[in-house]
Amino acid sequence: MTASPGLLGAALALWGVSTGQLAVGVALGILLEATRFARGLESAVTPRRLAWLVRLVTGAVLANLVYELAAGQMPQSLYAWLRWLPPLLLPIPAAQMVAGGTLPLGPFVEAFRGRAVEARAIDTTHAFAAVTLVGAATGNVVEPVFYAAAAILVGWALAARVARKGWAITVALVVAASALGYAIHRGLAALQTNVEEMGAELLADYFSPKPDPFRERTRIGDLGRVKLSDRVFMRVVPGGSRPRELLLREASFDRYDNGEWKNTRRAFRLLQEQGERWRLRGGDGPQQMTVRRSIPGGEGLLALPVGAQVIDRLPARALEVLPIGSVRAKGTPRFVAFDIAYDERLADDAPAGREDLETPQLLASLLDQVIAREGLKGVSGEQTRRAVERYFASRFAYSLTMGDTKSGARGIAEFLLRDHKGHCEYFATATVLLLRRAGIPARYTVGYSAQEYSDRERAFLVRHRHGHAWARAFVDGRWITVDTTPARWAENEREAARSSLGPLMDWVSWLSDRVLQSWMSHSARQLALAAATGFALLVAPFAIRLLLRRLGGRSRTKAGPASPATLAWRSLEKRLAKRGLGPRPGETARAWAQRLHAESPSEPWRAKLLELAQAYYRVRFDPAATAHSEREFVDAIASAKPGSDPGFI
Amino acid sequence: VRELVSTSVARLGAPMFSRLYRYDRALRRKLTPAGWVVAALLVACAVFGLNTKDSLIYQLFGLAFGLLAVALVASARTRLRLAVKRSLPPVVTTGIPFEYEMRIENLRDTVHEALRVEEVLAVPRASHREFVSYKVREDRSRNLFDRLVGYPRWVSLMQLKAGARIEPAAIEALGARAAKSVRLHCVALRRGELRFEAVRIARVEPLGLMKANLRVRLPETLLVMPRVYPVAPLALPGSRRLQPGGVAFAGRVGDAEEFVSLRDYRPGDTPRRIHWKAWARTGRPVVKQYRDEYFVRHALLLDTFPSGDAAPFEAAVSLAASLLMMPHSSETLLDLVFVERRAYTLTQGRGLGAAADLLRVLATVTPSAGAFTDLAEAALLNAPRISAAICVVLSWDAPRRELVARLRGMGIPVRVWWVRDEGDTSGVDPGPMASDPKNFRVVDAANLERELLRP
Repeated sequence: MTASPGLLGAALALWGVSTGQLAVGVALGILLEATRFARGLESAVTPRRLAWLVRLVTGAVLANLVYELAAGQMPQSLYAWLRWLPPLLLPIPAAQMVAGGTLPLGPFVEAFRGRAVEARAIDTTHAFAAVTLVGAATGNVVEPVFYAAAAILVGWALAARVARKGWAITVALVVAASALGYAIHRGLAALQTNVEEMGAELLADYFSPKPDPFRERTRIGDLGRVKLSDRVFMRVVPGGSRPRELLLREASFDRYDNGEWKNTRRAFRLLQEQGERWRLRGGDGPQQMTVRRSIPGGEGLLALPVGAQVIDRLPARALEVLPIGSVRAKGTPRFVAFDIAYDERLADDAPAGREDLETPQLLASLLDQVIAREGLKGVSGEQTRRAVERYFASRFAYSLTMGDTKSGARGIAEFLLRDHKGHCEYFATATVLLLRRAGIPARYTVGYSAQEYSDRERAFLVRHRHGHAWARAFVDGRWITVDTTPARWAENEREAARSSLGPLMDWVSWLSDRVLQSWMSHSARQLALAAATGFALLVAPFAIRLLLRRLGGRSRTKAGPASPATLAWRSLEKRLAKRGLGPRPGETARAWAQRLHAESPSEPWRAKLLELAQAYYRVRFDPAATAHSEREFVDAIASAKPGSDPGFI
Repeated sequence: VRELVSTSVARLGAPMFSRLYRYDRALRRKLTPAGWVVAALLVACAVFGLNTKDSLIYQLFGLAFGLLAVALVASARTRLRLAVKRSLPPVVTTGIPFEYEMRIENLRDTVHEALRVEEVLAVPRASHREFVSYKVREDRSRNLFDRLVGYPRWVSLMQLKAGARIEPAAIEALGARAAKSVRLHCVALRRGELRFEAVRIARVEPLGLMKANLRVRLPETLLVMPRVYPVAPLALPGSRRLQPGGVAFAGRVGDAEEFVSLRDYRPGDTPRRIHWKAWARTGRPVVKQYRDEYFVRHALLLDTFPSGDAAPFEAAVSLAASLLMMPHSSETLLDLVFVERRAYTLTQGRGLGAAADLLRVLATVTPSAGAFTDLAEAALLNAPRISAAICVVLSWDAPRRELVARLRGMGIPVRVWWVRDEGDTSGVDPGPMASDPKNFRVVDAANLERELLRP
């Protein structure tokens, strides 16, 4: 059966449109459809010629595969190969169209195996249509309508095969299948995105660059959207009362240069360890917190609250403190849990210097213009700070969308003058620059905002998306935090990072945290004992089962399925039991029949029952009994019905 | 090297082929040709459309999946209730096509259209060793491509084990409560039992991708006789031989009452021969005395110990069957001697078993695991009664030569048919048959028909 007229032409046209080879596709389609009208050429398609054609086409397909693999890169080369399959395979359906009807299978087999096979006819046109669709799917010129077009072609091919009477059902089923297929492919695309994100989150520790205390590349001026990861990487257990939010600083920077914050102070101080206890400054802070986190590679910046004084229980080779407030740990285990004592009233940063007032030359006039227009410069530092905070709170909105290809990159100028939208890096950078221009020393600070408190874990969960930037300003002789990012930022980011697998990932994270906690809080001996107990509990059921089987041996072997004769006999027993004549417990079939017969020998059905019991024994226990006699027995029981014998019920 | 390729592909592939074959059959039961195209599209799209960001192939995957899922649901129920009856011929012969009738009755009030009727044969499991020997043999005439791709050989082995090729039949429409008969065309591929298990009646769902199958259990067996060829007349010399107790055998032909006289009982006489009335009259035990009988009795010794392939054994069975079926004098007895676990001697002629009965035995004879000496023993045990022997052997080694030599030594004329594989071209040394080369025939398993016609 050849594909219905026009189907292959349409498929090739779709291939042409989709792969950007419209002219080629349409020309090939017309050529192929035209072969239907070739008359008198049927005899030209001989088995011998067909075998050669098959060899030729296969050779061309393989040669193209080799070429594409050599010339291109995987997987693009594979797609290129698939794309050109339809034109290369075209001669075969064309031969079928010329021959009319079908093609013999023999030449296809003969082409490779060198021997003829039985005369079976095959249809290559529908398979060719499928290959053409796959070829078309390698292009994406008509992506929005490709699925619909493919579904129409497939529906056409299927409906053309059924009789007109059954059309309606076929079309309805094709529509249902297409709808299901649509849902499936949309789901697949979403699944891939989710899996990629999950994979990226799982591998983030291994591939993301380590935070650098001397340099922070912001995304100011980037395009696209800020990508957020929902993964929990740190847990903070506050000591005492629970604050609404905890800002944990990783690093502060003092020089801004074209989207990048740098640190001019490079000197650092090594801390002395006092038995896993590290003293950053004097005092044993009134506030406490415990941090559990991973430090990939055993080296990284610690996110600490401002005013941290003592870090306790942190096994590390060295701790370095930068003058601007960053603390870098080296040589730690991957997972650590440590306590921090801090006093947030203490400003622990280096005193304000000249660098903390510098602004880029290019932005100076712009900043001055904004300060003048908005009246940001107050009499005192505190007034200026408030004015700046008010300015951002009233005019600006939070957005994770950065510049796009149409409107181009957005710098601080666009943020301040044009769209008033951005994420925390924009707000923090603009705040620092405005404060500096208004005469207040300020620094750019990055770290995390712990604000998601989990009642289950009794800790703040700090996710990668909680990464935050804010400003530190030197007002009235001390460093204070100025966070101008709209309060909705965390909510926005949570929505942006939300994934269907989120709860599952959280649960896995919680579970691993529990395991790690108990791992870290127990000695090696205790752990070994726990592992052995767990293993024993796991293995015990199997061992018991094995033991029971050994001991129980044959007595526990399950009886095989009852034979038809037994089933028939049981049904007879049941029928009589309903009349109160059933066998007594433990009574054998024959004893039962004999008892019933002895009770009233004159009743013929009782004699018949005895006969049946004897027949049952023959069927059950006589090794020479055949299947035939068993069938006879079953029939005899079945015939012992009320109609045939009033005695039986 | 070629044999090595065949062997290693067979050995490595067998477990995989066996699984593949099961899946393949399951899919064939379910899918129509159009369904195969869509299923192939699904697999190709799953392979190439893995990355949804690289191409649109995943959309085709969705479409193919949707189609197959809908087709699966649509074909979940057959809505058929049919009664099926098959009328098989009593026996058939290997390789000879035959037709039989099947009557299908619709038990419901709905009309069913486009039904497809297929037979389900029981297929015994094929062992890996069996496959290796089968593939190596089949591959001998094939090219490297075939040797490397072993699956078609597995399929043909399974078909051979099933025993027949039966073309499915189609019923265009089956009216409400109506019955229709279809004729199924069948070719038995091997001798032995053909075990029919069930009949499968399929209805294609509206998408045309899958079949809804109704399996009606209908177990039946059909005996497939070995192929029989015409044999050129065979003149074996040999005189009549004494047949002890022969009268018991000669139920039909002439001298049934060969009673000669009465004589006194001698210790050791069977009590069955005591003439009770004479004893009563004379007062001492008297027995009846019979005249000894002399018949012409031929033995057909069938070697059931193949050394290699199955083909020569099958040819030998065919040869034996052909010899059994050739016209015999009704005065002659023919013993068929073969070993299957133990030695059997079955006799035909003079009113004993008909040729067709022995043919039934040959239809089911299988290769034996023992040694040829079992057959030699059985043959020599009966040798004194035999006028002439026909030996169908599968090789020409020392034990077989010795048997022939001993038979000839007892004055029994022997005709030897040595059936060997078509590829075997080793030299032939007639050995004990050197003095009677006319009665020593070497036959190619593939050219049996031609060889048997040679006078």
